[in-house]
Amino acid sequence: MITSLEQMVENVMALKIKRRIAVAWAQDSNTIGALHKAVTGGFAEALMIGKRDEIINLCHNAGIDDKFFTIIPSENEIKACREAVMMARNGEADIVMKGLVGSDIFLRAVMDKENGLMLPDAVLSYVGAIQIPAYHKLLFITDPAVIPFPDLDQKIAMVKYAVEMTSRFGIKKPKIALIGASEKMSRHFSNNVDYAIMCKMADRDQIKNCTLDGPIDLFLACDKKSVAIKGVETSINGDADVLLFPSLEASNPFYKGLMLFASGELAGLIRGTPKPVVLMSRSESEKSKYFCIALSCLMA
Amino acid sequence: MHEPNTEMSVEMAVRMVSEKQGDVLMKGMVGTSTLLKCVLNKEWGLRTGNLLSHFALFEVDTYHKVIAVTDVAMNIAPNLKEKIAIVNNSVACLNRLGYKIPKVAVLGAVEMVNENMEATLHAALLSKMNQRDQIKNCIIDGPLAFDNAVSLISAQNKGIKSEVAGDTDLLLMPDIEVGNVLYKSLVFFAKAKVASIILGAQVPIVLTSRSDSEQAKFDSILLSAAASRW
Repeated sequence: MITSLEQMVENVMALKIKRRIAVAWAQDSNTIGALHKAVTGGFAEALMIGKRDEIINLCHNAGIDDKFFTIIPSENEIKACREAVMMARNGEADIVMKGLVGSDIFLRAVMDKENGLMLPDAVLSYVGAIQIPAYHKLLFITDPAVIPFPDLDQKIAMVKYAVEMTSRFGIKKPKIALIGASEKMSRHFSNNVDYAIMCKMADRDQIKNCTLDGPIDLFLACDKKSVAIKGVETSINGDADVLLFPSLEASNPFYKGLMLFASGELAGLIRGTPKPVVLMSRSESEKSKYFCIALSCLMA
Repeated sequence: MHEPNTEMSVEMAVRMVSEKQGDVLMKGMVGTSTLLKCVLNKEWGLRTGNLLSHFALFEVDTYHKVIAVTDVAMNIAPNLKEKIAIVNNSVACLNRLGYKIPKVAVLGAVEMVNENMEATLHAALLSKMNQRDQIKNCIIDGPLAFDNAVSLISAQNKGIKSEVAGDTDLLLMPDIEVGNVLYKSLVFFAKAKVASIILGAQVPIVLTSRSDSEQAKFDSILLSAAASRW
């Protein structure tokens, strides 16, 4: 079982497979630094789509030989995104990554009905693994980036994606906590209805390969002591592998809070596409970008 | 006690119970609506604030114990809140009859959760509320199809893991149409013996149909006595 992001990188290196990453609008120093590490780490090839001169300049400023990268010149961010997606579609790339372009423009290319990278009827969602010193293992969360208010079907898809990702980390039957403000069913929180339905679906094997419980709060999900104090019987039992949040407004501040105040590191990915899509905030650190790249190679 | 007027006689009976001169209310040759109107009278009726619901107990040769069924005669299409009230009424009654933790099966057409079948969604919610101790003193599982609820072999064949399946004490019906047909098919085809009462008032109410057998009326009186507060 992989219990840290460093260990995840080691596992990716041990696979001895090089994944080809098409980077849309690649002239970004953090992105170049992270990709350089991935290329020298032996698990990635970088296809940098963007302003050729700027990419070369940034490489030189960082003391990186631009020969590590294949540069594909492009002068337009929208076209660069389309090009990256197209390369994944024709099999020239295994992974698509966002560079110095806004998420909306990038996702528009990914989600384009004719030329995009969506599976038919797939739910596009985001799963991430967070490493924090205060927790005894990696904590996966979904969805801190894409779906504002997931409905029941979207929540079920989120569970499926989380199960797929955790299984790559060697977690056989992940404990998935459906997060609420309390463990009690209340008509004031409409998500509780979805949660109860999902629990029963898991009981009946309609949702497979995981242990589900919810609604439960974060204490019951991640702290054994709270479970003992509250006396709530829950299969999660303070040992959650995955936290499923009811909304983006809950999940996004949670993950950013961990990054800012709890020394968190994140590796995350878009799911619902036939090939991994790396999407992260432009302000994310080089280290987090490197972890995201490694994760995408693990999932490719 | 001589009282030639139907409505006055009902009022008299209800008043006697509310003044604790009677422990059970029983309907004679009077329409159900007349009786219930008096039961629900705000001044001298037998209201508790709880929903009134019908509770029937069946004895069938082909099941290993008696089985309770609710609601087959009173609530037409209960919503979730009403189903919670119906379960609470029935569980309280079963507790009084000596069932410490009765097993409650929430009936559906299938044991799977199906977004197009509201009964299966209600079943999932009731199960979770039971797990969280928001519905107490019983074990709830559902949705369960009728065969899974009453036959362990059926449940096992389907691979259902459930504490209730095959050993149900109480069947919660999705609506009155299903309940009523089940009730009548048990009586007519399975030759079941049945006793039934109304729960949710201050005392059990024996409200058998005028066409019920003498045996059913007698058993219902016995049930009302056993379920009574005293």
